[in-house]
Amino acid sequence: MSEIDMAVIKPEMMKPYVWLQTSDDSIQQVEQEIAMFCPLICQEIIQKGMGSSKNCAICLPQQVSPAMLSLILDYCRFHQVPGRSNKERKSYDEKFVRIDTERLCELTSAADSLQLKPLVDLTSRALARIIEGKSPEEIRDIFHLPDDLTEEEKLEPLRNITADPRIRLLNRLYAKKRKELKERERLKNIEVEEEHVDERSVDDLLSFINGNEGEPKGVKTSKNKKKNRRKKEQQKNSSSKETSELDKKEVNGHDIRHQSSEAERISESSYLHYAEDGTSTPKSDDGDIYDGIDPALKEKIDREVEDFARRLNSDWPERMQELLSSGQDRKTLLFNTDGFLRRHA
Amino acid sequence: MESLPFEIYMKIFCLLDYQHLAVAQQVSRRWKFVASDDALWSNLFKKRWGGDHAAFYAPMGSKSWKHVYEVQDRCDRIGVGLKIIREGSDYYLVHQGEIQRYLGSRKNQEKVTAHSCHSEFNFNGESSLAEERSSRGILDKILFFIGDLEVASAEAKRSRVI
Repeated sequence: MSEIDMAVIKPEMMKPYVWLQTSDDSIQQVEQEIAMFCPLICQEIIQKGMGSSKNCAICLPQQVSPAMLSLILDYCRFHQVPGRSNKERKSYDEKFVRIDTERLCELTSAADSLQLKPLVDLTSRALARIIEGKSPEEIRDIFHLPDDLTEEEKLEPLRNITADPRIRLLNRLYAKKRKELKERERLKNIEVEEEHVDERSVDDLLSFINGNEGEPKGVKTSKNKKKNRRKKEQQKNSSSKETSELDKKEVNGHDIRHQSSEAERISESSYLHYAEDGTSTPKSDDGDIYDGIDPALKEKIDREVEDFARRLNSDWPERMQELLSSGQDRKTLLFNTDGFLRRHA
Repeated sequence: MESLPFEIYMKIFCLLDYQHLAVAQQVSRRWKFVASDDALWSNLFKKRWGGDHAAFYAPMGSKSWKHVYEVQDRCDRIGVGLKIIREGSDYYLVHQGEIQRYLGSRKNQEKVTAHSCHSEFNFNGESSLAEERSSRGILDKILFFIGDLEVASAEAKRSRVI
């Protein structure tokens, strides 16, 4: 008996298969149950009666290569099982889209041509996630897109302006320090009220490097911060930036204590505070002990920050040149990075 | 990626927030075209400021929703008065959130002063050339300073609220 006859006579006995033809003209047999998951295939079978034999195989759209079909069928095979929990399905989906970007695009195309909406949604979301947070250059790279825009590109009014690499470096360093310190404190089980993070501004670091205030300023300012924090414990929060430098330092300490749990905000706000500090004067308080923090750790941190500051410092002469290009000789300039006003002595 | 149909592009871009969509516009010609689509930006507008606002500010004539969004966003950031502001490294004169004039850029500072030199070269002597250059430079500096000041105070105000 021919295959068709068998399928018609004993449908319950045989697991029905359909014949599908992919873009490379090869034909394969697929369980009907699974293939029906795709609306297009479903349509072809029910409305046009196609697919029951090799001769009348369903011609799939040209976006569906054998590889893509296999992926899609895997997806269908998993999801058409009714007993799976949402968690399972979600987890499968997440792993499913962890393929290289080119295949992801191909998959999206293929799924779309088969009208398999859930898969299209899944892959679109994955692609959107890839796009997010990347620069145009990176996106062009990943998706192999041509760089065919002209100076039009320069019109970018909606861009968020934290693009200064210095700020990003600083933020990253702060985040790293914070993490390190958290670890060590947890291990040692020392009772420190708040995290000791080196929140010195770039100004402070620079003057440290230049030896402006004579003694290692690092020690002093950190001490001062700690002292101020303890002093101003009761002070309730006014996060106003308009107060004097002195007040600002004290409020800073307090503010930072408040926000110590929010990693992001610390780097942002602490930088904000310090940017407005301008030339900071250390208060010489001898006899203040650096209690609670391991001095070796403190030195290590200071050294790291010093290195970082030196790295930053090498940039400045270049920038100064840029800004002095029109012939101004004065060293005191008002210029800003990332929207903050800073003063340099 | 190039071969994806328009609808898929739209689907993907629908999932992006306005900043990522703005970045998408700088990728390639096709992306710029798709990412400027009115439907996307009117959606973002409604999501952010609500349907009523959207009905009020709906663009008329040749204005696009993207432009309307941009203007509204700028108003949120810096207010509605006449101001000189900085975005990225470019300086603009804005009024009610709309850009009135492009004032210059830190990046092109060198080029700008060079150009002004050229035009005056044949007519004036060396000294006035230098003057022209330095006056142009100072004018830029003043504008840039005002722009920077504006951005800084806007940031400060915003942080105070936080």
